[in-house]
Amino acid sequence: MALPNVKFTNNLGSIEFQRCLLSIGDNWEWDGTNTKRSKTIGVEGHLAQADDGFEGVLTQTGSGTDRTANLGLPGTLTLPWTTLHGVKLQQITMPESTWIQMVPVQATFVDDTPGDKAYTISFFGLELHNPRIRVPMLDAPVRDTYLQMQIEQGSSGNIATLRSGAIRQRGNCGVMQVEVSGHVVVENGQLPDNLLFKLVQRLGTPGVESLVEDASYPNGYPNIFPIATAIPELKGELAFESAFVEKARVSWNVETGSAAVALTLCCPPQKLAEV
Amino acid sequence: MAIVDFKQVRQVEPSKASPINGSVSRAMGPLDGSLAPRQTLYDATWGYFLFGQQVTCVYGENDAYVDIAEFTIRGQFTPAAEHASGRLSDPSSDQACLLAMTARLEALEQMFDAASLATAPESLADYGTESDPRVIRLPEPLRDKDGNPVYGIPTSISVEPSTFPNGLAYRAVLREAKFPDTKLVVNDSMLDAGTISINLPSPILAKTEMVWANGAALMLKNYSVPEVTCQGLLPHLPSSGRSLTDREIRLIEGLYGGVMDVKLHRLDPVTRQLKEDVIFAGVATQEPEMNINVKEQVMEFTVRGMGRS
Repeated sequence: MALPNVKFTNNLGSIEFQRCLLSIGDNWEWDGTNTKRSKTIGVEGHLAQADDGFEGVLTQTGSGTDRTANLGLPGTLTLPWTTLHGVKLQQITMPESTWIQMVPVQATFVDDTPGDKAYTISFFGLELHNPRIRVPMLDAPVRDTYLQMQIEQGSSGNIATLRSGAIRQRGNCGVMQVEVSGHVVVENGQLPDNLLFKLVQRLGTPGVESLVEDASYPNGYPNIFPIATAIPELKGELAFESAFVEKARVSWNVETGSAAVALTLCCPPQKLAEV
Repeated sequence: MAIVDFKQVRQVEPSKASPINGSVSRAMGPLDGSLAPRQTLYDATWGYFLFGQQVTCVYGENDAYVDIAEFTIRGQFTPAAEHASGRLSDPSSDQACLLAMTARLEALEQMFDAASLATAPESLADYGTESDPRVIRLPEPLRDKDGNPVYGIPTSISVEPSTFPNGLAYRAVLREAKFPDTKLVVNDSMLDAGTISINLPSPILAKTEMVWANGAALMLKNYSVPEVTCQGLLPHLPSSGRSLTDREIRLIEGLYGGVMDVKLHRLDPVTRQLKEDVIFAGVATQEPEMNINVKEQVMEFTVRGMGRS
């Protein structure tokens, strides 16, 4: 039986290895709380001169209309007996050798998001990678008022048990803040369309988007929305009502094509929502 | 910004090899290195060599990768090739052979060193091209899939165990001359590792807590103006007798007016033409800072800009 072919395809293109030997391993990493699973795939194959080489899945390669994007995404790895999705290409090596009709190639892949769990969240359709969520809880503030003179303990009337202490008052619960952060993909040096207007969530019609002109932002009140509408992944216990965007910040690394987004959503104090 | 496409390399057939410089010599040399299918056996600068490359994908927080290649050249200089090239007059002298081969290695080292000390071109469109003095062109027949030369940034060069004076083997590693397609420009000064942080306009609220109920009454008074912070790096390689580079001086003097224009220089992915995107213009600056790490030879720059209401 001939050694199989293995093909990897992502947003940039594809690369097919011929006459492959495969190694596949599953790893479980225990960090004291959770076990994180990942799958690693090693391919020792060949590329033929007649076929495309490495360039199929590389960024910023080619010229003219063939030029690929500046960012590569996880893709699909087609094995002889199955197809794996969401696989990340790690490394491809052509060792020092003489290249004739075929070139030996070694490639490694990793799938660190196995299963069908959600690994990203979205804010009004804006996908956030590696998201973090700070969950608020009902919090009634405590205020201690320190006394200038000692008072009796209880109602004993015994001056021997006077104490110096504080009168404690507990206020009502304050507003809650849900903090959401993550990273968005910025392709080809331009922020996603309407990113800033999507983050500020204000009523009204936006003008021409400008980063620093307040007049370009909608002129209305903050948009009030249920959190489950903004972030569908938070349906259920964290589906708080009547939230608005209190703060929003974008940190854009123009060279790596990544923008970190941090949002603070303010909502009235409320218990966990009904599922 | 490309890797070597091995379709450009053809099998070397012994019958088509020819003596170096056409003379009767034990050293066989280049065939036709400039035309496809390219075949070569020997390069005047690199000697006889084998080539390998490795591409590593670096993933960011956004689960997307940028790949970077590393080129490895294992080369060898031989007395026969040096004699055939006219650089060794007496091949019977071991000392002369060693000196001749060492001279070739030193020439390679000097080429690597000169590239590492060079400064970046003024225009982003020249990065990683023949106009970029920081890069070194790989020898024939190593070209990319479109037949263009491939350039690398020197990483290391070391002598391999060799049997002197029969040959001098070395291992050279170069990093792919790949640069970002987008650069941050502040007042016409192009920065490396540029980031733009934007605090979007947020509601200014008057909060009144209520005695009889949870929560608070919020009244919208206004919105804050957007605020941006630009950060970036510049290489700090002042000439002898100076404490700042021309680029650093230009950046400082450009902010004397308290106003900055921030742009992106972007290479169009299809045409590779340089485009200039104005992100914001005429923004009032606050608290510009320049921190120099002398040992690391880098300057870190930060400036805040206040938006307009």
